[in-house]
Amino acid sequence: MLRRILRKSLTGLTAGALCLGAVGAQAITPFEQDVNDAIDAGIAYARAQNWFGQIASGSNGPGNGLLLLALLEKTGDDGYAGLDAADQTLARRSACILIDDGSFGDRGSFYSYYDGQVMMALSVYAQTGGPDVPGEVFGSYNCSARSVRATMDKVVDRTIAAQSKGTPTSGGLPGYWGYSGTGRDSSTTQLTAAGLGAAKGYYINLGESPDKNRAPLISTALDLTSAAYAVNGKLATGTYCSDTCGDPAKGQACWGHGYQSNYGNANSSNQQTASGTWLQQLGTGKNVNDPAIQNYLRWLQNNYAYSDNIARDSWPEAYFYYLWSSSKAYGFIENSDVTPSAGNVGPTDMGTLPAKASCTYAWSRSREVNRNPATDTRPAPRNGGVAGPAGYYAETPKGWYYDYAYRLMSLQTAAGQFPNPNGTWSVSADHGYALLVLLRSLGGACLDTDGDGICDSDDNCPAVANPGQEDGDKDGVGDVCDNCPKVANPDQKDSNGNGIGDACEIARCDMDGDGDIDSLDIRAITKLRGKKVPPAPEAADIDNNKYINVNDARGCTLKCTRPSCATR
Amino acid sequence: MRLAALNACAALAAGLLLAGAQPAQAISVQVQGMPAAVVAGDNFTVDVVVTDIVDEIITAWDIDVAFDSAVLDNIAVTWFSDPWGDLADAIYDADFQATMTDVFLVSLLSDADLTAVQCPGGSCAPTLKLTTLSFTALADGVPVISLVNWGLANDVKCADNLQCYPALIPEPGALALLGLGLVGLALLRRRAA
Repeated sequence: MLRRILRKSLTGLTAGALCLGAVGAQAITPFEQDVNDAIDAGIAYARAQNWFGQIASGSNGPGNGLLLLALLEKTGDDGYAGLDAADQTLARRSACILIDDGSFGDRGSFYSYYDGQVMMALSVYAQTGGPDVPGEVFGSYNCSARSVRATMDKVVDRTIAAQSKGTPTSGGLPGYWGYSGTGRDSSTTQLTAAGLGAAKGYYINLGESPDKNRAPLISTALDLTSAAYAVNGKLATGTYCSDTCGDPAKGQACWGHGYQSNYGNANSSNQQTASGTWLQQLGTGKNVNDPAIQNYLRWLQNNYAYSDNIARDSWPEAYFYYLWSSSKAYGFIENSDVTPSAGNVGPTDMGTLPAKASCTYAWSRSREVNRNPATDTRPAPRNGGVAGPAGYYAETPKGWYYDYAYRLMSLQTAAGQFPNPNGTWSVSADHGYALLVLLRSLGGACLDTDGDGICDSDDNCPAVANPGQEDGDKDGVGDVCDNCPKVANPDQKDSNGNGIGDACEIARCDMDGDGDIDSLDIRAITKLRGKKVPPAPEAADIDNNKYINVNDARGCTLKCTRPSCATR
Repeated sequence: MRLAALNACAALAAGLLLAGAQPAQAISVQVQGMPAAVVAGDNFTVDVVVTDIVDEIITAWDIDVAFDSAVLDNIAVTWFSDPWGDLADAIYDADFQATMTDVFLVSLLSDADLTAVQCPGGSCAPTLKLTTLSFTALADGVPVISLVNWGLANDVKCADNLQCYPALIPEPGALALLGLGLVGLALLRRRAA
């Protein structure tokens, strides 16, 4: 329900069985197994700290919402419904804290850091089967009559009211929030808008409350935020890595964003730029090929890092948050089914530029390149405390997720904690961020790339509007983007890349419908030479150009079932 | 512009695929053996021949042969087994029309099998006779025989079912992609130096 990624998250026997079924019983790789084990260990650490049953540790703000999110997402798309009975109890208690505690939903006024967490976690909790009234009574909390929906309504309303209104301008307030009200603070805006993004999914999927329709109001607020980031990117010059920033004549550049909208170029940071990327994507109709989003992505590509937030402005402790914010930026793109146009950059381009030293403001850190799974040793924490053999993850593809996960697994303690090497802002929040990175969590946000009113995570065709979600063969891929709409082929495999799914290729050339392709079929196709489709049957048109010629006959010959297209 | 090795190579490969769908040296298709003049009652043949073949196989073809029906009548078409291994391993036919004959052949062999037949020892013959057409002169005159309607309806296919005649004109986008790949490779070499 939350995401369409078929992730092989194996946590516990029940969840493992469910997930294996979802991915067609593929074997799990050593890397995936270690990631899942690291997640399990991290969740176990949070349980041991009682972070699901009380205000979690963290001098500058507890991470209860982030941790509940991680607990829910460890079962993949199943969320609350996929948890065992003990963890469901923990989830209900954790939700109760977010509803009933004076630091979170029960506080009297808007506070970005807390309200964002409330909206994210409760949205996922409720959409995956968590009861609207958690019913838990423990410690000082009593949720026997407290409602998720009532809390969501209240928090959403005060969040929208607290947004700085107006037309976004460079350095201005409109579109942003501050800590407890209006402001131009990106640091708090990112958490607030993340919460609203999740709340949008809550109202779309579970229905609006009787008093008003909040999903449209949320969309308006997020569009404003998206527009604000689009005009507040700061051109990277001088102190940043900016080798491949595109053609300025075409408006292409590397744009960074700092902690405040009026911060200049010198204060751009990896963390805020990454958040600025997905915050723009939350806007209606935005996707990876939007020019301003491209400019942010170029900045991130040119300043790629996973060992640290190399451009970290005044807050190095934001390292784990940087990993999650950039993970979300790339994850949103990957889930949208919109690929970068020629010349544009996307998630697979991160870490592909050559390493470059000392090109970043103030910290003189290096731009990094993707790690090499073929030569990496197994991280010591996952190998009994000593580095394991090189190439243990050799079958894992290079890329940002591998880099991030390897780094986090390397940092995890034997007890399962993810300690922030840059010092911690909130120990529980840091732990939550690390878990959410490993889980590829998108914070429950509802992105609607094609604007058809269905969240990408639930949309059977995220990049093409299909509000009716028609899916004739019931394979989970909407008819408008199915490469074989009349034959169920959930993997959409298309070996020859001609736009026709392999499941339909046989049908394409099998003129007599006998289940194979032989000389009888080829002869039948040649008899249709020079005819348009229709009236000629689509089965003869393998190149899908609506015209039958020898290209179709020879193309089908190359797909014959037996040598020399022999008949049975 | 992305300059990573994989991307540069992928762009180059894609550029070559799109921009260079024809062989490096374009083949030609000709009518050979046409007499300079005919007298009513003359019988003669012409060959349709692929020339300028360089390291390439012919896998299928579809050709329209037009002629002046006031002077000529196409009375027969001959196919040859040599390029196709065995005519049983091909589908072929001719449609005799008043002013034109539509003739085609599609090999049922794989590209690998055709390579063994057409390029024995790894050396492909530079020319390949597709067919021979037999004509009778209906009147005295200068015979005119030409290959027409090239394009969507008629062409010659090579390996991987790529059109190798008439030569494809690369789209600007494909050329740009090719250029991008070449620039990427050039920069990579410069870095490596």
